[in-house]
Amino acid sequence: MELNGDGAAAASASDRVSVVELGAETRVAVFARHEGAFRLLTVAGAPSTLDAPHFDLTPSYERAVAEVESLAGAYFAIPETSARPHGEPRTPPIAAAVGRGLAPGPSCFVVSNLVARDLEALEEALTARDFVVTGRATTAAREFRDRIDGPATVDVITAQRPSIVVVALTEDRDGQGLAYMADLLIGGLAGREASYVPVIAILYGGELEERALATFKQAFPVHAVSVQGGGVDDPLDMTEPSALLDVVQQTVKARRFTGRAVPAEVADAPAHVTAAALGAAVEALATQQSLEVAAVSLEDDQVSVVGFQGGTGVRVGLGQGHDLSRPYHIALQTPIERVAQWAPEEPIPQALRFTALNRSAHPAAMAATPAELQLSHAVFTAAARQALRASEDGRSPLNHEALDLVVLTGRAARNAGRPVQAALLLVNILEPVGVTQLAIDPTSSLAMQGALARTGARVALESTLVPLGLCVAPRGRAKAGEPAVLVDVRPSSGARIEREVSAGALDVIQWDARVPAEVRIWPRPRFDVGLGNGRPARLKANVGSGLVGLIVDARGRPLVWPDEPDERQARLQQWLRSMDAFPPVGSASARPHGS
Amino acid sequence: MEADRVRRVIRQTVRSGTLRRRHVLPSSGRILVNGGDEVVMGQVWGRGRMHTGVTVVDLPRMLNAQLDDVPGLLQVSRAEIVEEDTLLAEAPGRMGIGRQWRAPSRGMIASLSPRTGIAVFVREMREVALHCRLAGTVVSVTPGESIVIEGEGVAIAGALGAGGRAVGPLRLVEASDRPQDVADGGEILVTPEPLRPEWMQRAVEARASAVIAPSADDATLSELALAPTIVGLPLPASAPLTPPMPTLLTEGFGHSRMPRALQRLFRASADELVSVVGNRQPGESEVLLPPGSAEALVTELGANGLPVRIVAGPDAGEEGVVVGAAPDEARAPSGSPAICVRVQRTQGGTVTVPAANCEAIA
Repeated sequence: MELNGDGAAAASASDRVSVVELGAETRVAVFARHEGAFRLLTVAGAPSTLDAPHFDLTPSYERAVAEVESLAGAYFAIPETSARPHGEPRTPPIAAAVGRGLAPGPSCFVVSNLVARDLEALEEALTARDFVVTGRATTAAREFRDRIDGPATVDVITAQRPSIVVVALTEDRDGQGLAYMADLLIGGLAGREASYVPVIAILYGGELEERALATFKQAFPVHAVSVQGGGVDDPLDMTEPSALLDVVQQTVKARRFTGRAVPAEVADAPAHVTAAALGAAVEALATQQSLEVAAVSLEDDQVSVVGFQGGTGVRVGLGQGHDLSRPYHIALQTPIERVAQWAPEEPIPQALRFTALNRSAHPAAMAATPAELQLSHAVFTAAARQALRASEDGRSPLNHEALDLVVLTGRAARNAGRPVQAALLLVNILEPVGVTQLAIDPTSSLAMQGALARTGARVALESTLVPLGLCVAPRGRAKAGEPAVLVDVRPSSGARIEREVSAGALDVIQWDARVPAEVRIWPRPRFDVGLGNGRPARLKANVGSGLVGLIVDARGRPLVWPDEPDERQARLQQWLRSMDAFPPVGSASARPHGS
Repeated sequence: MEADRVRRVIRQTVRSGTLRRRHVLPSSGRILVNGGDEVVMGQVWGRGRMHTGVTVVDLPRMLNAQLDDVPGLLQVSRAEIVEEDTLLAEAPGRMGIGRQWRAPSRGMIASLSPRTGIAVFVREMREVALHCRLAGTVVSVTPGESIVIEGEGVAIAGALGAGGRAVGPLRLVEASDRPQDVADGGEILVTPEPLRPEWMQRAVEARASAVIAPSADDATLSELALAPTIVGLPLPASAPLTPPMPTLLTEGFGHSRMPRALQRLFRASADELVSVVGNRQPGESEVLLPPGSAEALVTELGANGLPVRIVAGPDAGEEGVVVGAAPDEARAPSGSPAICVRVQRTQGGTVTVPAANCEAIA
């Protein structure tokens, strides 16, 4: 990209693209291609207008575009050249849209009596069209009704609210199976106050009975087709079903924004659900840097933890919705006793409810005082830890001993009052073991970059990350106060820093951010930083201090707290004080704010 | 430029001008209007049947009976209202112990399919007339599903809401008045004071069709079933499962009074037909006022700066006008990076607050 005479970048439409993010804010990021890879030029947002009183994305999208244009100045617009003929839009084309409810394909529930071979083919056809199968009630038995629990199936469908219900029946004697499904779905779904109306896709072996079809059509949008094959020795011919699924895909896409107006360029953009886009970003980052990477995204209405380790992606979260309606605050899905573990003052249930309900009602609002910010970090920490340990065996799907780089993104990253707060969120949520690099995505653009990467574009993902520093966390236990680890930092210029940290403590070593330093770690005999108990380690390369420095976390793994609330709060406050994480209560960056 | 930027970053909770609203059939029902029709607020656009507390059972399977035998096993008639635990159907068994289907709540058997034996029990079934929430033109009709109306008006977002939809003449109940002083049936009542259960009881007695209030506390939310179970409020034994009528809170949870600017908007629409949607899904509740006085007032209120309420932080509940950006303040008192604005408070004095914590109310 070169600058022309008037300061504007000489660029064509293909050199600039934008990505739109839908959430509590409508955000627009503009990317410019540089040396073959897209880099973030700028990002800005405006409070969403997808819900009342607008139900129209247009105002917030236009405000976000105006804001991003004011930030990017002459670099924003695509100049009028042969590449952009007169009359073509001057704003960069939208390469992708990303959002909590923007699944690329609809969610679907499959009810069938297909044999395993045909069911597999059907699900492959669904997956190929980006449908997400969220549940199924299937049996290979021809006596379909006797083998599935119809009322329970309806309960699951009601709870999951998939965009479509696929009913695939072959060898349906006397049309009993189809009539059964019509009665179940109409009885169970139609006429509820919540007005949930899925699209029904029927793949039927044999002639479709008009009466059953008419019954379905009274209550649902229905697409139906007769299929060939589907017997034990006669594979299902997927020609007709595939054509039907194409039509259903279009129908559901058209219904995605039902009841809400959305600018055509946003509605037509390739859509990506936030967690998947974040996963793509983390995978690309891990691959580009040859590192084991995890990212923690903390928004008021959802938390996501994604990782890419040993060639495999991991994705967990809380508050992951399937539609565009505004969800309740994440605090309402997090038990208060878990939040209390991370709050320096015992949260009163009523106060937490007050915060959570009013943040749900006023989604743009932010923590205004240090105490509010501490409480919101306690909620984020508890929610993300809960998401990580939500599996059946309560174990995290990440290998916390092999995390080279962890990144904080989302609203918590944009709103961190001090960089050390971001570092603490990462360390407390992920409990990394050994030596881990910490980074922040201060523009919270990682998911948007992931969405862009999913379109096939090369994206310079690392360019928006800001190093926070390192975390050294030995595994091991000792009595509180006993020495745990000695860290020796030798900056290439300036004084050498040696710090011994006791078991149960948290400390930070800072040095001139412009100077790389050699780092040696001497764990005590009962502590291990990755090479075995008591074995010293020396980092292979010199490291910068980042925004925070080198955090020495000698609290042990897993973290444990005293049972007594007062003791627990005292310990938490001690950790926060040792890191200078928040201004003392009462002092606040407490500038006078009124007159 | 600065004013434009301030307006861009502050959330708007009032919209004036052309509005589009989708009206959805709650169930199998009939749409009574056509595309291109002109409609007025409150006009019936469709009729449908609404179910609550739905339970579906596979009776032949549950009773281990033949399909043809099922109707004879019913112990109550269809649509007969029964109390919880009433025996609905029974198949005789050996030793006198048969299989039974009992009522999961007070309600009725809504349907029994002769072809499949699928039965549906509902707590409540109502025939409902569906009213236009907005005057204007029907711009689209999806048969069997919904219509979209486009028209002029003023939409005010609710912070929280529940209880469904209502259309009726708007009446303001001043602090010194009681609901029964101003209502004699069908009105949408507005109170500038935080909602209290006893006030709501009087509104029910006055046969109001909906209530608009600024806020409600813990006890009121649970007593009136205004918050979903996700909120974790203890539900008193006496509490209804659904609010007694559509209810909308403009400010949210707590004890805030209604901002004067909003009160003025409601006063401007007094005695006019307005519509209310109270929905527990955040972001879906709203009041729709007809154009005219309300629209003119929105213009007037915005002429001397952007009227806002402060929704979070130490100044939450205050009302004022944004007098400009605060470029020297790039952080909230929490230390978080923030675009800050100066707000001239209605009650006097100026405060600097994050723009994110302001909401435009005109």
